[in-house]
Amino acid sequence: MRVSFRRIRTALAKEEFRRAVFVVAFLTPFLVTLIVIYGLPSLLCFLMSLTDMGLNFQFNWLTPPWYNYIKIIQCEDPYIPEVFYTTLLYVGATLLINSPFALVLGIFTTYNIRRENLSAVLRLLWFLPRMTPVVIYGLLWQWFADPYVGPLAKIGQIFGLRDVYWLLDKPYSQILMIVVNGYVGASWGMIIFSSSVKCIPLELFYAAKVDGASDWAVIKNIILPLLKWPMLFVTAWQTLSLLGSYVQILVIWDGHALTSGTEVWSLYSYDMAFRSYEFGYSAALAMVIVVVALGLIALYFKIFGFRRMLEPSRVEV
Amino acid sequence: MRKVKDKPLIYLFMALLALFFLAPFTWLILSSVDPKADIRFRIPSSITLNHYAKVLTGRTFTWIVNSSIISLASATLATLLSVLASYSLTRYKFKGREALVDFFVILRLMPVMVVVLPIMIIFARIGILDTLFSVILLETALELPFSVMIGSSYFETIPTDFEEAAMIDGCNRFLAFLRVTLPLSLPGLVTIWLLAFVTAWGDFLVPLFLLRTPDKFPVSVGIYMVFGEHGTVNYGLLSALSIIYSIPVLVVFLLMRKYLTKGIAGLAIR
Repeated sequence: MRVSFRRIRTALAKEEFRRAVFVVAFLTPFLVTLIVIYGLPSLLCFLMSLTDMGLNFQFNWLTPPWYNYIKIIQCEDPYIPEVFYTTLLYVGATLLINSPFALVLGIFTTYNIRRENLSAVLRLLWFLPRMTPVVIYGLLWQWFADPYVGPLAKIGQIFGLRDVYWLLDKPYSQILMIVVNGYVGASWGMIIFSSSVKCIPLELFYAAKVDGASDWAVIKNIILPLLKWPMLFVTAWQTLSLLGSYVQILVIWDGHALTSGTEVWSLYSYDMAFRSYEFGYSAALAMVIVVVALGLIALYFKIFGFRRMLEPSRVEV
Repeated sequence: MRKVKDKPLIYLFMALLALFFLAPFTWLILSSVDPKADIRFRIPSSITLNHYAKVLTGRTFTWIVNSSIISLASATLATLLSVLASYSLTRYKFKGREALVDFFVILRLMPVMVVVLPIMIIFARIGILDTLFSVILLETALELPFSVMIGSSYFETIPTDFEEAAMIDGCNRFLAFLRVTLPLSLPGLVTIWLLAFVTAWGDFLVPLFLLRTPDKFPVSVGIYMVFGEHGTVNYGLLSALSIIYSIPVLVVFLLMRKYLTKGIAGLAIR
């Protein structure tokens, strides 16, 4: 049978066309949803940030259009320095707590605890805050930090701390803000580290034990160096997540965040929109977070190779 | 790896810390069956199920129904859209595919305020603000990037041989996907659906932004609004509602425990 080159080419072109139609048909609903829900609103948010939009939802353009940004940069809004400082404290301190703590938890529950069932139960217990709906989590912290009957008040009394309003008095309120978010973050990081430790071939541990290595030596010389990428990933991801997160603070400190020193940037943006009804200014505050987040992502891509951190073979042996 | 000698001190430390954090949940459970429940931690002298009965009637029951509608609908929609997208992303290499994947990662990290503020205005203009539909729509979109990441990871593990065999036997591309790949990827689909369900069930911000009428609230916003309503807090009712509200999430996580520790972290990273 004689098959012409032209017929093969036509058949291949047809197959290529069918393939393209298939990809477009399957991807379109998803991409349309993303453009409508993410793309369009992000553009609108930027436009809103150039207006003094209030409750009437009218686009009244400011002169100069970037006035809201000037207001932020030149601290014409007197709360900006405090909010900025609180955000730095929140992101920095929470990261300092949850990443190392998650690492310790991940290694202990996977390497040090021998019984699989027990380590699974312990991991599950630590995962409780992540499983708990955020309002319940907030409610439980309010109970825990109640100044009269909460367990924290009882513990505080042992150390001579009486009549402390844990959620309102600085620096306790700020410490609690960090612990509340660090605890949730640690449980997430623990799962990442725990599964990464499980990816390490057992032979490495056996060889180390045969050579007489102690547990600490195994952790220091085998586990920690192999967890380099997961550690970078957890830290990078947590930094970006923390920048835009505020829901726990909103639920627990409802309306008292500014007075208790727990008003982070994204919460301030929320408050400007839904308590002061300054939608234009709120959009500008939100755009600042986007710019910072995009800058950090670009930095991660450049310095660490963010994509490399996201690859499946994260534990390189 | 786990052949190392157990350390009693480590057990003790971990158990104490876990116990410390379990105390609030114990308070919640005890308060829910205590007829005189208040903010204090106390062992109830008698046990009642009245709080649970009250939760399952009236306004709180409407909230549970609303939460169920929102979660079921958005999880199903997100699964459907993400399966189609992740299948085409993993099976076909095309220009810009890598950039698209990077874009999902960036989307996952966008502050929700950037999206929600304008969405509120758009929804108000088209008249769907303060409807369950608006919440379902936004929840679906917010779940999509993560669902696509999980879906893509799952489809990558399924060999293309079966599809190719089906196509040789006369199936077209779509039928091969429908009859061969989809049934093979069922565990992955269930995972996507369950995670999307749990996310929507526990979400607080989206319904808080989009809903105004108390009868349309899901449980998350309902609890937040009822806490301290009329100047007093009914701790018994609040605890019972909190426990009922937490049950679906706990069940889902228990069902997925094995997968969570073994695989989900890897998927979540991607």
